[in-house]
Amino acid sequence: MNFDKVVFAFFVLLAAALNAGFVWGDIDSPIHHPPFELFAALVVNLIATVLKLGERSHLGAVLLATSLVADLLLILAAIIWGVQTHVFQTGDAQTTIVSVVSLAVGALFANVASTILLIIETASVRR
Amino acid sequence: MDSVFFLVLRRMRLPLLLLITSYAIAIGGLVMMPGQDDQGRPWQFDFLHAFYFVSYTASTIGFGEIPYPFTPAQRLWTSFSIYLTVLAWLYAFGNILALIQDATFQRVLARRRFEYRVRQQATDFFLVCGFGETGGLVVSLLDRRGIGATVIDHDAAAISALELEPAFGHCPGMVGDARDPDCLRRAGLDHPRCLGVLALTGDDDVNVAVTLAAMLLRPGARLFCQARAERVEGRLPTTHSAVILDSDRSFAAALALAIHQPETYRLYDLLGYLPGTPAPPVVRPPRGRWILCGHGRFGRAVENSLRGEGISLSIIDTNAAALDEGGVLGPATDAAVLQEAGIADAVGIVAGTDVDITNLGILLNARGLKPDIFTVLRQNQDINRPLVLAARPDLLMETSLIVVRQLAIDLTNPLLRLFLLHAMDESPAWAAALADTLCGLDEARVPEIFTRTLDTADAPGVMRRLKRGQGSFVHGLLAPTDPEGAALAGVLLMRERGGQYALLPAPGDDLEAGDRLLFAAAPGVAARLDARLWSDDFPGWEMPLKAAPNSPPHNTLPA
Repeated sequence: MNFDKVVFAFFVLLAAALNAGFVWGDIDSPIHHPPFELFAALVVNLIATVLKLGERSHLGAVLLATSLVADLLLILAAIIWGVQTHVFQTGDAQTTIVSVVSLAVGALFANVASTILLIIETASVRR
Repeated sequence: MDSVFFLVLRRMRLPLLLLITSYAIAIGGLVMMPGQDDQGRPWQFDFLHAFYFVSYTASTIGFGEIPYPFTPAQRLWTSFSIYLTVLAWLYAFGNILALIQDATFQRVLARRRFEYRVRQQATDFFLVCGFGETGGLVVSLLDRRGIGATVIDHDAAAISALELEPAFGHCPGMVGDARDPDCLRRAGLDHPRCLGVLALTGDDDVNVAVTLAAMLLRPGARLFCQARAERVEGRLPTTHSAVILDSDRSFAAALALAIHQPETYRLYDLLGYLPGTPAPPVVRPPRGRWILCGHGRFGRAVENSLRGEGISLSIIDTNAAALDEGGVLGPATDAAVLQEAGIADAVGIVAGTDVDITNLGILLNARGLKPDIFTVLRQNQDINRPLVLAARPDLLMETSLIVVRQLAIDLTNPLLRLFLLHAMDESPAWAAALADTLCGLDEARVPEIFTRTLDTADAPGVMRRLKRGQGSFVHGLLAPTDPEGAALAGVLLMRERGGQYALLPAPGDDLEAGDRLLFAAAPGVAARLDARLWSDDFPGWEMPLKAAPNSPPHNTLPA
């Protein structure tokens, strides 16, 4: 049992899981999307990205790309939420929560792709 | 994307992870801590402000407690997160610095820089293997002639010296093993502008390996291989086109020539020196019995040459195995040994051991015993130059400089080699007169040697004249601009036309398209000559023939 591989798969899946948890529920209802969960999803996504750095294989490069896409979208979601709440004082508006969640859904898409690639990589290991 | 990038990313993983987790813990905790606004109402950090606060705390900027003073719970958490985040930052920062300064990383970067510079080479260049004394002189020589160089050496200190000295023209250098074909490739062996390879390392095995590699990987490149031992000749295939640079044999041949025909030797010496340096004086080694100190490779080469001239020799060496019968065993620095070798009636002595200090000792000793003896000194290392110059031998053999001068002829003026070959057949009087003329061109300094071809690239003006049928004669090349003026300070040494060579063509000889002309001239004359070759109405073409004073005897030789 390879400790590195356990950690890697753990964080990739956790990132996808937290992301999914955040977007689940009515898209326009703030109760279904707690900010803490976006925070947790973002942090774990960043950790997963760092773990994917420095891979020389083609698969590794694509994995890193998907992770970067997810990071980008989640960061954008967090920024928009913060700006809408504090700069424009429209944090509770329906449009705000919808924008944030729709970006997070995009990030979920990238995370799912990342998970699929992880599964492919695991399946192709000949032992 | 290559290994450097991946190396950096891999090493950055742990510091980045620590940074992210420490920030996450600090921000998350701060959001959860109960706070108070200025009215005492409960208030909590939101993520944006928590991120802002942790950012300026972790980077030790420390603006202060915003937007309201902290409650004890918040302060407690902040203290904890300070230690966590600041240390994480310091660790990450230290790691990045160490990574940048890492020797492997630096070497990889240096290699990439080197390869980039090699690819960007816009001028023709030579690949020089070995940057010792000879390599350094060769690179300066190439730089002065406008030819670039790329250098490989296994010693990092040598490459540092290359980068520091402006005399070396800032040519790219890399630390590596020249025997490795990959190294040669990286240094530009396949580059279209690579003219050839110079194998100048101190190790003959390496030189042979480099020459063979270059022969196989880049047929057609010019190859020069320095040889210090017999093994080189035997290891290269007989059909090789490499020029073997053998300073011992070159000097021995030159010494024999100097004894046989001093005037021709002077001409050879003069044209082989680097331009601008003071012209070497005439040397006349006497015939008679000579003493040869040191019977190594150099000594044997000299012995063969001198015996070929019919000179009788007494040989001294400290190593009994190196001596044939009849030699004197013992250090030549010992006066008794010199006397045993018969210095009393010897006319010349060759101090040819491997150690410069020994050679100097022999020279001083010999002069002490016989003040008017002709002294030949072998200088092995350039650092001893001041001592050697102070000792003032009659003839000096400088191991590195001989190679450089041979290269100077071969690389830049191939016609000169042919001229010297043909000049050997001329009479001593001819050689003496020409040598005097050459010395007079630039106030007793060695003149510049250059070649011009009569084609549309070098001489469009002359080509147009020839097309129009107007006569162009040799004397027009260096004629004065007006009848009262002085001719250009130069001599047309040789004309090559379709494989036929003419030494010192007569002023009345005509010029044809395709002629290759070899000139010796003072500095600055080349540019003025080019001006004439480019113009078709230069008045000098119409000048009447006038014999210049001190002109050397003219003759025309079939090849």
